[in-house]
Amino acid sequence: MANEVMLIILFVFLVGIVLGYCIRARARLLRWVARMSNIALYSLLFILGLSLGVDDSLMANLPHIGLNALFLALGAIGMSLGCCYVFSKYAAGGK
Amino acid sequence: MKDTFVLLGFFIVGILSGVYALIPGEYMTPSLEMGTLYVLIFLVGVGMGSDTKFLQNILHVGRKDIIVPVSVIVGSLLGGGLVSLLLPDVDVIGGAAVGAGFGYYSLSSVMISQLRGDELGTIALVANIIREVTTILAAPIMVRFLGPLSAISCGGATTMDTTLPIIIKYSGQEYAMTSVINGILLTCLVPVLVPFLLAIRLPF
Repeated sequence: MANEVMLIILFVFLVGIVLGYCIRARARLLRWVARMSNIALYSLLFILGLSLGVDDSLMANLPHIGLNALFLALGAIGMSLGCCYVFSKYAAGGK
Repeated sequence: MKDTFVLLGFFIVGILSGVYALIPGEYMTPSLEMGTLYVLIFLVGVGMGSDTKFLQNILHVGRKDIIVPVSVIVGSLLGGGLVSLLLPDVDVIGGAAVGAGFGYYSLSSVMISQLRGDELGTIALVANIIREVTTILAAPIMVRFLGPLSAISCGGATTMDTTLPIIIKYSGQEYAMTSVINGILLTCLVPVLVPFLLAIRLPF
């Protein structure tokens, strides 16, 4: 199931890029695209909130969810900083 | 930052509508939500494809420009994955997928919530907002102790727009291009990498 969804997402994304390139000069159409994509995004975030709100166990878990998010963010940031520091040193040394 | 508040506003109004039962949940079906996600990703693609500056930047990426985005990809997946080992609620793939949001909280959170459930989606939303806010608040400290590229690596996908001004201010004008290219490459990768990671089934 997940594989299928992944392929659909990739396909839809690529078709979008190609189509976007074809209509790159059509400013009015592109403004409409930007507005529609905002509406889609707002709806999905609203729905994400709504599904949390109706789920009592998720709501009770909210502080815990926040803490998980904080740790994951710190891990991703910390390792990114570390890799960047090491990789840029290495790249500079290699020249 | 204004956009962050608008998006958070929709999310919070959603929570409140759910808690106080303002909207009957039956109107939303999983297939409708999934359809909306596909439409969103399609429109994001159209936006990227139509942006000629975007494409020009990608075509002119040099070897030097790759260092920061590669560090962000390796670091974020590894960091998210490793931290998840300490968290009982998040598995390694989930942790790496949250890291693969690269600060692009809007798209990563709605994708993860559709593919892996609302709990991890919410974690992705909060974690990636924290990444953006940390970049804005800690840029001067990071640049001072770890050099000008550090703030760009912290910003991830956000360094082409929301955190660009702060990076120019503290890393310097000469890092503006590096920052924009980093942001563009990572932004393009989010809708590819997140579903790819979540499609992985670990044998244990």
